[in-house]
Amino acid sequence: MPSKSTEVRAHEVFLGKKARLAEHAVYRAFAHETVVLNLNAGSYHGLNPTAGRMLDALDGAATVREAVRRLAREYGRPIPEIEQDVTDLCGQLLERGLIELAHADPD
Amino acid sequence: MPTRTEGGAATAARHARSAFGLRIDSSLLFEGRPHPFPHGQGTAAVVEAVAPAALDRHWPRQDGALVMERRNAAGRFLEIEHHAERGYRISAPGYGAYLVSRDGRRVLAAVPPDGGWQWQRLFFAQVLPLASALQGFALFHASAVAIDGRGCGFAAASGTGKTSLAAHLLVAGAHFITDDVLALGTGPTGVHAYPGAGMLAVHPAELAVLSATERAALGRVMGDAGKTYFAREPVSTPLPLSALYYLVRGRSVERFSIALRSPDPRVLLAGAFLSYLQDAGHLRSHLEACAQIAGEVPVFELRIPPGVSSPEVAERVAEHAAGACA
Repeated sequence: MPSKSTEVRAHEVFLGKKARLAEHAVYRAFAHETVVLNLNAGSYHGLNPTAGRMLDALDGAATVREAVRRLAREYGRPIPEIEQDVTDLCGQLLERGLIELAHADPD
Repeated sequence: MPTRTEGGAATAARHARSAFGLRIDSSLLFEGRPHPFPHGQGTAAVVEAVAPAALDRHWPRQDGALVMERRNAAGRFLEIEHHAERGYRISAPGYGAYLVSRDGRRVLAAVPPDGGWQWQRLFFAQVLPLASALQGFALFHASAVAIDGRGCGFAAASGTGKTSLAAHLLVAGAHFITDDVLALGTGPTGVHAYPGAGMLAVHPAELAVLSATERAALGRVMGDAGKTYFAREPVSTPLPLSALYYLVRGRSVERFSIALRSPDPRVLLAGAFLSYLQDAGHLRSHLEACAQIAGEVPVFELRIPPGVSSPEVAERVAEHAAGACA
């Protein structure tokens, strides 16, 4: 079980990175679910509407931190709360090979 | 079928057909709409009748990877092999062997030498649908009829009554689109149901409740093989898909109902007809097609309790569809 400090460091790493959909993944939104397809594995992954919106935001943002800020404004929630949820999601999507983390483009 | 000219030389007749979105130019005669789609609709495919030995020259046996086999009690029955360059080989003893090019534009068909009609069961159930899917159409396990010029699809597990419902709707005046395999075109112009094979297979129990006149209205009897197979010309053009009904039947269903449902992506995705097509291109296009269907086509759950007859179901569906398809 990772320690709290390990989790915090992992989240910090995520926040400064650009999270992009893996080349072998594609997703489409349905009424109550977003389906992410891993083209290599032929596997489908379902995201609830909130996670689907988060994936949308991640895919369109320069960094995970930027996506967090947008979502916090959209949902009217505190940034630390959204940060936790988004970085947790990033961890899950990374584990399933559905997103990749890259260095953010320099401004 | 070769024909003889006045000079005695044999010429091979060509037959134009349209099915599953394909405008087919064929040397093989088979049931179906004997006219091509109007210009601009559908995609082209060529079917050539060949001798089994010629087919084997194009594809030596065991030269591909087996992607599907369906066995009966006696042993192997239907086999589908895939080769990255050559495409697909589909074969079943007594039903012939067929090669479908990897782009779905060419089919070589070695039908059984004793002729008959049954080879068309495999041809319509597997060969043409594969060619259609390889050319980009989304294939679903569903039947469909046209009501007031708009398509209504009926999806369900095998044995639930898709064909029975379609058959009774045809008797009641609907127009035939397809039985068992529904080819959908998706894209900027919306979701369209393409006419399928000119054949439907009706269970004896459903025929028993029809009058002789109603049975005749289903089409020309081709033969019997557990079910009675009718030749029936489908509609001439693709039609907008205005409703998709999912049939649920069984003892757990307490009362008849037709209810609008948010389409479950799992159900849509699982409804793909050719489950062995697992390459990235097909998986992606199937997901996109399902997303478009979910976004544009009303999906209804049709719950049928025990004791409700197929004619009664058809009557209630026709009434509902007339409103849904408007």
